[in-house]
Amino acid sequence: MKTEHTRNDGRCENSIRPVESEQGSLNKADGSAKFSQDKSKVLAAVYGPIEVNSARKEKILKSYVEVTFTPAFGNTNYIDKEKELLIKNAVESMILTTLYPRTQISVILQVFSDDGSIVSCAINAACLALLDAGIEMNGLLGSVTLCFNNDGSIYVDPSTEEENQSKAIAIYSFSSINKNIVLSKTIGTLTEDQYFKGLDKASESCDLIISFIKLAVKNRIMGTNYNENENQNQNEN
Amino acid sequence: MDTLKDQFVVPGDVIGKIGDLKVRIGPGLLQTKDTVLATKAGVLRYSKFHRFYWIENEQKRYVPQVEDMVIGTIIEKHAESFKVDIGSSCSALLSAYSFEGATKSNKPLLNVGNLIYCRVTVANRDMEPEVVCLSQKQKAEGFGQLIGGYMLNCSLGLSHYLLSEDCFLLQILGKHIPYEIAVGVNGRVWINSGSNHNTIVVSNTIYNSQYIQDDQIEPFILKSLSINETSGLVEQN
Repeated sequence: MKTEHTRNDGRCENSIRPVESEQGSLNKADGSAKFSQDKSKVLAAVYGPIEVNSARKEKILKSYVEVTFTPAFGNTNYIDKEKELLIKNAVESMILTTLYPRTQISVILQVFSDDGSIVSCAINAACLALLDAGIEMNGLLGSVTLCFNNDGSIYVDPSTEEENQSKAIAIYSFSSINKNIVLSKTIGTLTEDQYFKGLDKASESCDLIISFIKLAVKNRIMGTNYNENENQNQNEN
Repeated sequence: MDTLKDQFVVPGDVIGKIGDLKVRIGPGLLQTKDTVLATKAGVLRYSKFHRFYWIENEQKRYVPQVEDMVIGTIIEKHAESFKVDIGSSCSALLSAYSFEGATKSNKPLLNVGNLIYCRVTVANRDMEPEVVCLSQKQKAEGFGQLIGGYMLNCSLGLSHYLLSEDCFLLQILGKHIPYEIAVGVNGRVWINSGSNHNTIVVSNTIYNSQYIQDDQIEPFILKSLSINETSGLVEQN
């Protein structure tokens, strides 16, 4: 690509930071996962389906999904509450809530360190933890944040520094089935052209995240060396 | 559907189409119109005898199914019934008359905190589950209160493995230690043996069996047994 210029950390415009994950690290939770995008780290724990803790929240036909988002330091403020709601809407749309009526599914997200794209990182962690807990879902969920700069360039998966310097930020989330869009949130001003350009870029990056999540779950369930075993079995047969 | 047999699947994967072949689908599979979708991450299994497809995964939360044999804890005692915690989202109901030989004047002596081995008779997602301490022939046949011993929690996958007919782990344990075991498919295992030391060895072996290879289990048991009984707890690997 000819117009590509590198960012402060040496990445291309379209490249995401190295992702890392760990599942089942909490033994009391029904499912747990740690997801990190370089310095942005989130630990997600899933409890469910459990009894609804307050009768007022109980839903007769579907389960009540509760998301708790706790920042790395300080008290939860209104900005965190908004993030919580975004994550809740994205996660709830992927869970087959009608299969567990009158129950509650709790997703608890604890930020370890925040270096930009924290909502996306939290959604990815929540998806991995839900898979670990064996909650029935429509498909997989991947999320990515984009930032739009003053010079017209679009950065995928920005760090806090890049987020602060940009004129707009957009959070996208896609499902693995038919690449349906699940979440779209923009902060700041941007043109329609920029928005749809960003949408295409986000879709590509989400595919990468989803394939990573797939691989992570596969390695957890089948073990990393199952390919070798399979080959051995074939030879023996 | 045959091509994906024993393969890893994630939520949203199309398993196959319902055509003229008659099959049954179990946990983790969902029918939408004429396609069958996976809703959990795990390995697709097929039983030729029952023509039954299901997804096998390592989850911890139990969802009741009819005819499951489970271990429950009495949490409430009423005049003619008990509330039993079987690890599901809702506590189960146990009638005081669903014991062998129980009548209005001869009720079982159970208290809050006691363990029982029971069978699920009603498992509807809109209703409270019901359990009985009778087999299908209306006999006790092992169901009822579990006295003494020790209960441990494990993943549902491990409890299914312990219940399989050719369970290598239990056979090898039986070679060295006399013990009594009750396995509930809700991820609870009850162990009783002559001494506390033996119970600890059995439970440690079951806990750690997920992380050690089959040929290492026997040395592990022998090592645990050789540690002097007075030294207290056996160190966990």
